[in-house]
Amino acid sequence: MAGKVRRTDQAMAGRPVAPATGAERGNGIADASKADLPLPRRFRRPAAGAVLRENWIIVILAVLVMIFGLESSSFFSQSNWLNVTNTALDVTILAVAQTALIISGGIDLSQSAVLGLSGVLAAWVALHGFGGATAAHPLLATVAGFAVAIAVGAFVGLVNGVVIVTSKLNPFIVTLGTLEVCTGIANLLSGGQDMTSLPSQFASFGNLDLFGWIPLPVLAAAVFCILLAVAMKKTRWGRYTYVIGDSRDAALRGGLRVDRHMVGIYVLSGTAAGLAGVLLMSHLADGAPQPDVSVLLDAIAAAVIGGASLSGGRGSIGRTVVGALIITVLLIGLVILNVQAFWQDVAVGVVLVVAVLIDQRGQLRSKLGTALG
Amino acid sequence: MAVSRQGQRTVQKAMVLAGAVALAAAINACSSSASSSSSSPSSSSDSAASSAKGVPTVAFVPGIAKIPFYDTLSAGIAQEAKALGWNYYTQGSSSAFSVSAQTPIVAAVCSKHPTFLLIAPTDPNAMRSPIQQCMSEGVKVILVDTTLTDTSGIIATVSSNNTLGGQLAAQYVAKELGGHGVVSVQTGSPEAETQAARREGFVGWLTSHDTGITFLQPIYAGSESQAETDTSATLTATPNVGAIFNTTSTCQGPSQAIQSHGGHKPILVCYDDSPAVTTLLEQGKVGATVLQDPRAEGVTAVKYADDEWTGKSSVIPKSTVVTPVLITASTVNSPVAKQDLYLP
Repeated sequence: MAGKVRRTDQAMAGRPVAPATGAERGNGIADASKADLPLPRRFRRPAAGAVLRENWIIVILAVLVMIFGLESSSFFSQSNWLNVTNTALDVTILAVAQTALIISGGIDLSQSAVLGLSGVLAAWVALHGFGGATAAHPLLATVAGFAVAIAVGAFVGLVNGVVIVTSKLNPFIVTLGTLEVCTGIANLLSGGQDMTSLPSQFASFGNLDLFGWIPLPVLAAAVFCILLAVAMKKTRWGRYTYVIGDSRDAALRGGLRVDRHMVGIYVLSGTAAGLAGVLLMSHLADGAPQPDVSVLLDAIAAAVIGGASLSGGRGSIGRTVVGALIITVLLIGLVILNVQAFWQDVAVGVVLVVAVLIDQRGQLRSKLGTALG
Repeated sequence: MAVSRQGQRTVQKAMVLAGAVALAAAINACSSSASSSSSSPSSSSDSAASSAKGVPTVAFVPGIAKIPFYDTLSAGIAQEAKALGWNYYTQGSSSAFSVSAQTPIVAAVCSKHPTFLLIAPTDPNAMRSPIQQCMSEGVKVILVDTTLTDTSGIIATVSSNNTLGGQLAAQYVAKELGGHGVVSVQTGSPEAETQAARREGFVGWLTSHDTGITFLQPIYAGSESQAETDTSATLTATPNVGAIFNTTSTCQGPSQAIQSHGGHKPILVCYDDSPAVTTLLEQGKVGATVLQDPRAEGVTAVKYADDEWTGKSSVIPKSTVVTPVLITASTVNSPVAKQDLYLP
């Protein structure tokens, strides 16, 4: 197996003309051919200006934070910090996993339903396996609930991935199907009602703030995002993800096990949705079967605001996190400023379209610059 | 060429700066207009300052933003707050009636420290924690429409008598059907607390009065389109359905399905009101609807807030139930009914 992977690496490295990969598109991901084909000097270490241009959405986030902070002193309060981070939690986890999928050329519409199902499952296991709020072993009930929920999330991802790669059906259709299935199962398990008879450990975990400023679920989400970002940037797995999304045919010709890789990314997406579900459920102390579809749309929007291309091959975990924070800061900042609710949707929509427009102009300029030497 | 690129960058920077200024101006304009649309005599700046000056601020968080029921409830709050010279604003989720959508809004509103928070909790248990957090920051809380299982620390709860609403619908159906027939009950999810009470009131009254009415399996329909589909399916499977009672504000969907169905048309009884429902009542396509009097809920809640503010907390009843009314196709245009209809 290891030998096979090495051959794959060599096959990719030996390609005389590699497809335009992440590095050439300015996302900082090293091309598999880098070892043998030295890149032009300007690609070796991006200049500070290039880094800023690549990460311009951080400036947008900073401007938003500044505006809201100047408009209302409440925005910089500890309680608002906790509110922003806790609210961004589920969108961020879904968004970073969705970004990995989008980069590879896939998409997962079942994430919000898996999120709902995992929250209900954790509550269901705690209630029916251990006695719910009156459980004799509440800690065990909590751990078991979390484990089962995340495992089922991974299983749904596995089903998504296997069906997609074996049937060659569009992932949009397959994951739409699992969205419905998971919603139905969550409603069957919960009787269509929110499940709130939980051991107190659920809420204790979900509402524990380290040093008063770092909610434990947010810390867990941050660790997940950092691990995924490192995996995407520094590992062969991450490089292959970009290569597959950039050109599936080239990846196949290069000897990559594309199908197996794609199944793995769908499992990642399902696991992330399961993790987000249990973290959200423990924070709210509520296993809610009805998926909030806006969470899924916000997750995809965050990935796109972060520069992910829906045609694959391009995106960044770090910028997606910033995209998710922009959406959350807009939502909460506009509430604090007492802007009417529907303007919040308008604001997110405008930011989404403007971000994509600016990003596309930047890409076009970058391509022209490369073509013109 | 180099000069040209630099020029482009300068223009870009200028555009970003202009965009930021425009965004700030737009936010200012939006927040100002939101303020002026409520009864607030002051700007939308943090209310803690205004509270310190002796003018209380009331904030209202509905289950979901901008539906006629909550708009009418909000109008009742605004009306009473204006009469008292208090500040008032409302913020609700535009996306969903859910704990996850309502929780961050409650936290954001409470970070501004209003004097009173009036809230319709989206879940009787899960919303306790964010409301508790709000109370721990010194905000006084009154529950409107829906309630919590644990109401400790809450000043008062004001809600509609949902069981009575179901009973009113049952009495109307029994009379229209002559005491016998098949009835379908449609309900939604996850608004368990209120809708379960309406369904139980409806079924309980018809069962306890020994009518010859029988019930189909309850239908769960969370949207107009789903309710339309489910109603069509019900009529296909059981053409002799005598009446359909929908415990949610979903009414156009079932009405459309009934009108599209050939042959026998069952009586449709809905809950709540909207301009569309009023029109359907006037056209006779809906037999009756139960109105909850949300304006009275809002007015009552602010009266209790005033009692608390003026040190008369001992006179505040812990729980207040507002009586619903039933409006039929034949009474919808009466002057009394006009007063009970919700705001468009």
